[in-house]
Amino acid sequence: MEKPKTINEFAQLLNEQGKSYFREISALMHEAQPEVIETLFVSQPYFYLPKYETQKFHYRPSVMLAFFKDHLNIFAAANEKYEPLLTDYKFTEKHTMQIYFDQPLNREILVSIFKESLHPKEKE
Amino acid sequence: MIIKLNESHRESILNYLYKDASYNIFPIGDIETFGFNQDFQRVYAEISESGQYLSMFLRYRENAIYYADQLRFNLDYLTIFEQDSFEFISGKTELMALVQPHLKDFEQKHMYFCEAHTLNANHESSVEIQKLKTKEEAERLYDLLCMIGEFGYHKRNREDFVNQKTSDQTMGMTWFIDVDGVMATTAATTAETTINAMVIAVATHPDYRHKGYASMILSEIMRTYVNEKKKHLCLFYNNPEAGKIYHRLGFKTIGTWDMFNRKNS
Repeated sequence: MEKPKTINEFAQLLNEQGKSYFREISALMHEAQPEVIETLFVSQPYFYLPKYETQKFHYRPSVMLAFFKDHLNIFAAANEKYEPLLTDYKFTEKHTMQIYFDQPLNREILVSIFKESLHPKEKE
Repeated sequence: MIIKLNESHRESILNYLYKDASYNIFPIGDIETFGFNQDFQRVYAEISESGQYLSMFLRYRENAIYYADQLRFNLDYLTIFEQDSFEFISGKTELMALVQPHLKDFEQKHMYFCEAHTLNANHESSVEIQKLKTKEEAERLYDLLCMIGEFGYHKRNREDFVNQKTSDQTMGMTWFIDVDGVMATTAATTAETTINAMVIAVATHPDYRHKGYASMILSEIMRTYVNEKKKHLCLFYNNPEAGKIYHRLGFKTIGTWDMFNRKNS
């Protein structure tokens, strides 16, 4: 299977539901942090701020998404904090958020999660 | 008295650990493979006045394992915990209950400990089961594990993972099933000793679940180890759905195991 080389190529490979959720989540990510950079990591969307560009990859504040045919996973450091408020979504024991494509997005809380994960308070 | 062990203790400490070989698969494998002269591994033991082992504490990279053949935890180990700190520590549930009060800022994970001596159901594979050999395959494995929410691989270093998977196959192997060019399912073995091995990292891509791939790959691992190598297999699980698969194949739950990881590690 051909790997996407850009975020646009990645989006084109998603099914219609996936495309719709990706567009919405990407917009929320920009609402949370307008300067956010979108790129690919393990052929999936990966978001971070330019100010952390020089930080070692695995220590860099970031949000990673992983898309599947009926749901997406959100890997974000602030998931754990907001997990009790998002009872409609499934969380794994590693605090990965799973949103199925028939679930509405809780935009307000997602923006808070993205904002805090991309720019943690202790880094200010 | 607690002492740091060296090569002269190899036979005696292994004899002590082999009395409970399934539970001690990790320290046995680590000592047999890496011994006492590697900078990433240290072995400590509590010894009675008559020279008998009473307990053992092994440090391997960022991991630690505590074991005693009786319910005991010598508080002198706390000095070693401070001086030789770790990110993860695990052991039998009943022993870790003695250690837990001394662990600060650690998260607990409770798991079932299973063992297989025979293969019950022989799942004939309708797809090719491959052994991981190349760097490209290890990279694809990393990509798969990163995407799966139950794992936390995206915070692990990709290069280290790939190097480890391709260079060090002395303690275990990795298998995978490719479907339409996608790595759909994987499972690996590690800590292989002279009598057993541990099954780890059983994972299926969410889009390829409920097709029997995990059973096929586990059957292949059981054929290799139980039927051909005449070794037992052990594994941990805490997902009840996964537990059903393991039990159907021939694994039996023999106890519980607790793992503690430092928060934010």
